[in-house]
Amino acid sequence: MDKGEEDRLSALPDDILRRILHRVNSKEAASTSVLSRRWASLWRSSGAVDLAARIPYEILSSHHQEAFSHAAAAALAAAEVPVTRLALSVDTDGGNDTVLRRFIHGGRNEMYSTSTDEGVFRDVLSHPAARHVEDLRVALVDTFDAVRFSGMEIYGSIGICCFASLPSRETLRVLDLTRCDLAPAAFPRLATLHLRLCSMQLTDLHALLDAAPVLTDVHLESVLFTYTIQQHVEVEPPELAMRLPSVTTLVLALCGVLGQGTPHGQFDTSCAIAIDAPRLRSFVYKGLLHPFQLRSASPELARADLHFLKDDSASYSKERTRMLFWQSVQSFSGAKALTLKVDHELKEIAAIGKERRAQLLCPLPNVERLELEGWHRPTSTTAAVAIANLLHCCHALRDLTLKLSTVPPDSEKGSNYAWESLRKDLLDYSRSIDRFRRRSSRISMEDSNNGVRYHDVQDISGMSGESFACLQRSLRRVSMEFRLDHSSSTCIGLRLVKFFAENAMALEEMRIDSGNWRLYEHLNLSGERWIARENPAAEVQCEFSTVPSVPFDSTTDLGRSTIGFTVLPLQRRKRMRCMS
Amino acid sequence: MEVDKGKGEAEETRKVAEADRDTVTLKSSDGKLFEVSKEAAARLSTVLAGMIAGGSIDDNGTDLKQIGSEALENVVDYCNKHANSIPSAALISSSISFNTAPFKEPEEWERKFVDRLSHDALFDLVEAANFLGMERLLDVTCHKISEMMKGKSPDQIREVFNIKNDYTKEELEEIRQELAWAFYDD
Repeated sequence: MDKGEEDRLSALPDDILRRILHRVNSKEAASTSVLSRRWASLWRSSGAVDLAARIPYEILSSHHQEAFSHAAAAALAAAEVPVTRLALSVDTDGGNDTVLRRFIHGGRNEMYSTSTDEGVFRDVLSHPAARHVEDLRVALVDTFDAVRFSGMEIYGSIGICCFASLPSRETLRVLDLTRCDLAPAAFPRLATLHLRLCSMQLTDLHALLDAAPVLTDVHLESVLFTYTIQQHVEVEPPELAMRLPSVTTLVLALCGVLGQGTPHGQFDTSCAIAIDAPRLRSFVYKGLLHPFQLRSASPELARADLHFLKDDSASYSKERTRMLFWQSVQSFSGAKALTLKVDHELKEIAAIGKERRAQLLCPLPNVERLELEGWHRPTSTTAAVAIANLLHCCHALRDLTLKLSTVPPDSEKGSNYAWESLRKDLLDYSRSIDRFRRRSSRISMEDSNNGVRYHDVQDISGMSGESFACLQRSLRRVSMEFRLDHSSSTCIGLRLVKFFAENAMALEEMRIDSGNWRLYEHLNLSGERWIARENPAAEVQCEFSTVPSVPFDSTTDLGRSTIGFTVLPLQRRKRMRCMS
Repeated sequence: MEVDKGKGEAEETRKVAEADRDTVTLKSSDGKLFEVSKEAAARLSTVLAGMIAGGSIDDNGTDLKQIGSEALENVVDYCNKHANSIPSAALISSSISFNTAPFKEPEEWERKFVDRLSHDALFDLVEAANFLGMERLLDVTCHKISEMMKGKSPDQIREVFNIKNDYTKEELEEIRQELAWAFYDD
């Protein structure tokens, strides 16, 4: 930073300084009044009120609540212009909701009762200065929320307060709520809607979306949609239908649908999702496989990221999983980039046999980038069928990323297992390094006893012998992550490497991360041979960079040393380079 | 991109410009010429949009006497980068945290763009953006300055920005008492 004598900041015009203060929280903004006379009252016209309370667990007293209310009242009273940005946040780290409930509702609703009002926020929201708010953000955050609520669709009401009426219905453009429920409302100018960890009636959501003609950005994360079940009346489960005529970005993550009215409610995992968003550019979905439909063509769709969770409780037929997966993928046939992550075993989505392929597969003519992340049993090669299915669909694929694992994501072995396997990897790595160092002086193009010989790696059923349009013309780049298993010659990852090296005619680069370090000593020699066989004239150069020393006995460095081993770039016709 | 220094890149830009005529030439206070995409300039700057619409653009370089060459280079660079940027993908917040909403928040490349600027260059750019009516660039630069103020005591802010305290001790004490809520630490 320049150490000039000049005060460039104070020299800026008032409206620029207000624009800066607009982004600073209210306490810091107000305290700028002591900087100099120039700053005495600028903060009063910044148009923002931004207050945060941090409550350490077990230290909450009514004192915290009073201080927050007092600061909010003072900041609002000081406002000399209408407040357009109002941000309120409360952070704690209790791991249960008691602290937040007590902060918001005082002595009331202390433990398990449902919250029905704004609590400590009521006076703030009903203040006359807050009548023209355009950007409203309220967040009640517990550090443990990320762990408590990730990984499954939400199935219970968890809002801590409920906004019955918001002050600036007509002016609101950005609404961002975390752990706050929203009563029926309509915001005609709403452009951005972010809801996290809250619940609302399905009919209210439909009404809210229908009343927001300029909405462009919708982000619903762990939102529970409820509907009323009439007792003794058989009704079809409702549809999570969203009409979003102007929305360009949509995130739908871990949202659940719950029927209310019966004593225990009815958590509905079969609820259909239907989205009508003709201007959609970017879509993110995380949740179970639901019947899914994109009602209108979205010609501007650039990318879709879909992460399907596995529903262990439901006794769906395997055909249903397969059908729902391909139906969902088909909806995004217009996307340029498609990211698929499945918690199911990959063979569960594989369309095996001519009849199924004809029934399920559809062309994905626009997909240029495809990423598939999933797991398979070490001995099963049916995963390759799923990969082949996708290659068949994507005629214009340029860039393929495969992330293959042999451990299901919800493995009950849990972290201990991961720890054990990591330690084993480190030991393997150490032995492998020793071997490598011992023989590094005589690396040659000759087959090595330790290396995998070309002919040892088996062809891959479901792929070898098939013809794929994208392999003939478009596929330029392949990235793969997999774990090298004990029998290298049958390892699906290695077989895929071989397959792409031999069959992808336009391939320029292959990146490989084998997860457990040992690949470099095997792959380089054999990979060289595979490519060399296809291109006898190719100039192949092999480089090994210095292998980092890993403290095997130390546990503190594990985080840093868990990085996989990467071969990059492995360039056909040019050279191979090996780094770790 | 500077034209008069004859950099390869600048030459390239000029050739493209002559072929398509979709750029405008701007002249800094110290007489240097810069090319900028007409579309991006009109979209990002209300002042340039007005000049383009009103036909007051000079083919030999429109004079911007209030803006130095360094600041103008940054303005032009920003416009060109903006013209080529792809909106970032929507991401699920990995941890549920406040202020993750992207509305008006700078994009990653915009952050980097202002982060590399020196103290003086940043303020030159704020003034240029203000002069040219560039709302988005003002937001990005003001955001950067607000980040520089966050978490600092008034004394630290004075030091960073060379702000001279012209209050008496008594006046300061008075303000601190009046705004006790702002100085209260919870």
